Amino acid sequence: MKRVIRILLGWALLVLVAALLVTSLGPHPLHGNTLMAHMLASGAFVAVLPLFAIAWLWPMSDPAKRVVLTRVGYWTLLLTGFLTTVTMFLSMLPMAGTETLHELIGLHGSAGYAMAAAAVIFSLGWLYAIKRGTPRRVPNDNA
Amino acid sequence: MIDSVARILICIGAVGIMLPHDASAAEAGRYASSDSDSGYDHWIDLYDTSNRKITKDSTLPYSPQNTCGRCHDDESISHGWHFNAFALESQQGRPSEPWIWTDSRTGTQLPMSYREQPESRKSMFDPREVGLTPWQMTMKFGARFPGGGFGTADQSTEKKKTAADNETTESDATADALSPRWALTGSLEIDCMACHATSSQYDFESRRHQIEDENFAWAPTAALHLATVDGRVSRIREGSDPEDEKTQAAVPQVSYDASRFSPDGKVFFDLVREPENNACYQCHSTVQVNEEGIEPRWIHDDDVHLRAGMQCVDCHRNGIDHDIVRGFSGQTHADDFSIGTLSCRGCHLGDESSAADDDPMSHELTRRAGRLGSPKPVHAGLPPVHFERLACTACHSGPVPREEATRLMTSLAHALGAKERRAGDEPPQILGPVYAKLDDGKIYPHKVTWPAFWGIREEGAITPLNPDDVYTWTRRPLRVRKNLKEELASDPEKFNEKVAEALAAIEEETGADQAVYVSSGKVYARDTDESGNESLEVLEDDFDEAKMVAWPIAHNVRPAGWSLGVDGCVECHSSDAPIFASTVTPLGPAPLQAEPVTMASLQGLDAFERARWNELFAGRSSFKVLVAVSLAVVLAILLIGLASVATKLTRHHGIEAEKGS
Repeated sequence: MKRVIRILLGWALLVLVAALLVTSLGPHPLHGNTLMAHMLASGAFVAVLPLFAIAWLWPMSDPAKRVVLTRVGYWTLLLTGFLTTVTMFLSMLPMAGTETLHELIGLHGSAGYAMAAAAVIFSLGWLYAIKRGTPRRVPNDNA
Repeated sequence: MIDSVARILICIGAVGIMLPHDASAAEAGRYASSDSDSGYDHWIDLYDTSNRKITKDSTLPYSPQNTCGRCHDDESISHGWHFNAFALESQQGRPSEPWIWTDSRTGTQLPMSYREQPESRKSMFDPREVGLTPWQMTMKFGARFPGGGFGTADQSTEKKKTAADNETTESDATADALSPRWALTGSLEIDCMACHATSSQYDFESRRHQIEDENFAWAPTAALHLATVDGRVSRIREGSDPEDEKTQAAVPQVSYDASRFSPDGKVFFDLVREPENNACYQCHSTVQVNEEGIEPRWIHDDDVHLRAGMQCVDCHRNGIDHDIVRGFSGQTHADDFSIGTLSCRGCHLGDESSAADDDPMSHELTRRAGRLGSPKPVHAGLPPVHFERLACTACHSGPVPREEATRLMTSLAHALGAKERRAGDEPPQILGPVYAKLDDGKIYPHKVTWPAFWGIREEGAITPLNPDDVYTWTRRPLRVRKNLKEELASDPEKFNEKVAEALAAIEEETGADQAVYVSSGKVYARDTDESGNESLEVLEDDFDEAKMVAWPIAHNVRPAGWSLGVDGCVECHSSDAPIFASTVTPLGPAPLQAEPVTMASLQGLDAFERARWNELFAGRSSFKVLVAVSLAVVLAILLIGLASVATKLTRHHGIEAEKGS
């Protein structure tokens, strides 16, 4: 059951990152249906990201169970996802002035593209693990 | 040989380049100036309309052109904004308030302008197309026009615009077209003192009365109370010979006030270089009207800039060319000086656009925000996309928006400033604020009106008829004494009957196939059924000539705390937000209950899409909580990961240390 939830959350996150990437392409500032789609996807993303982080935490914290690529992808995904979300969150608060907002939007975009790259790394690692069939077992150093 | 030819060509080219500069320099050199910050005391000789020096015994009115033009470049001034409102080929720039020809008897409110209009603005008409002569225009609007251009007999060449080919040609019948009244009324010259006199020195009411009496040339003299003016040109019959002794005897008589003349025959003109606000208000005042009439002045505030001690001319500046800075983004100036920081955005946020290298105002420092000490707004939390979609005025200017656009009265349209009794429902019907887009795609608050006029429909287009002709032709069938709206609109059946008869009379007079009456965005025409019974019908077609005419509102600017959006996103992103959901109902003399139009539909917004956005913003507060929780969880996990790495590194270092020991 846990494995199914993990797989579903993994897929959901990757689909959302792809949706956010696609809707962020094109002329800026975003507007109309593109902006609407981006905002809807971001709403789902902020809900899925912490669930994904929790569900994948245990396997990702055990180097014996996952390939390096997946672990790097996971932690980078969390970090860039955090940065992408926090820059958006700060923009939503009545704190930042126009110039700061422009900077936050720039950072949001950069963090978002980095997150897309992290998602690719994570996906490759995951694919590699699926293709290999079973988790890699390494001898326990402490044994 | 080639070298010599090249030198000659270079010399010719150099002379060609230098000539205009030399000419303008010479022009500038013709006039002396004080070049001091202090005002120049104007103890001056006055000159009359025949260019003779005025003494206390003179009998002709003083001429601003002959008096002021001796020391000031009146040729350059005459092309300035305001004066070119009655001139051809002047640039429209951003749409401005039209001249609205109003005639209550025929239910006419016809927006017009001599300025070139965009092709899309077909409900604004050129007075020449309507058959109105410059003299008629001067008579109708002279009280709100500072003079010059077509207001003067010599410049009023009565160019006639033929509707068919849309070309401007000299009238074939100059003798008929050039109103003989000019010879009697004289010219309505540019009256410098109308703006430059200090407050209370210039009597606008007296000027208005003189123009109403057709005493155009006498208006500047009467306005300054330099002399008493006895007589009215309006009492001289049409067709009178100006040279006739009887006519001459009826021409207004001037008696100068001897006490105004100093011993050396000079007169003191109490004036200022930069006009005072009071002068501007004469033509630039607006009042709001509610169901009970004009709203009391005390419940409304001044423009926030004026409250801060500024004057109109601090932003709306000009040089000797009087090309006044109108203050909208993108305006170019005749002098090529950068005026970017004299707009809202430029002054408060800075103007990054570069100007010519030789322009002292294009220096990086002078393009920064903060001109005249203007505060730089933070716009905290306002997504920058708003600056792409909204003009500054959308949130900051104009009357506070209500559920429905309210009626407004303006100086130009309703003669505010003149001593009159106003109920508030006098035509033309102007409404605002109406939030519509301009060509730059941004939303601006506007004042709007719907044209009402009698016209001819030919090949799908409607051409308005001269309102004076319409009155003559429809006087009998309409039988309106004073006010078509008051006398006919209360009884729709009577209105239909009378208007149908009036249309029949117009068709008979003009020989046109179909005469129409336009009001409230609708077009009325006669309809005859199989039995021969006549009735009035509203045509189904969509006519551009009947559409709303809008011009942007710039003032009054409200303080930041009274701007739209200060209370958060949902002030605008909600189903009842005035900027999108308030309505405006077409108004006109006809008894037609037109459907209200929402601002969102005027802006071309899709109702469903707007509803979706509003729903999105309704849940924004909850979404912020969700994001905060999400961030907290992710941050916690990142910290766990970091702690895990730190633990492993510590353990690893411990093992290494053990091995080493």
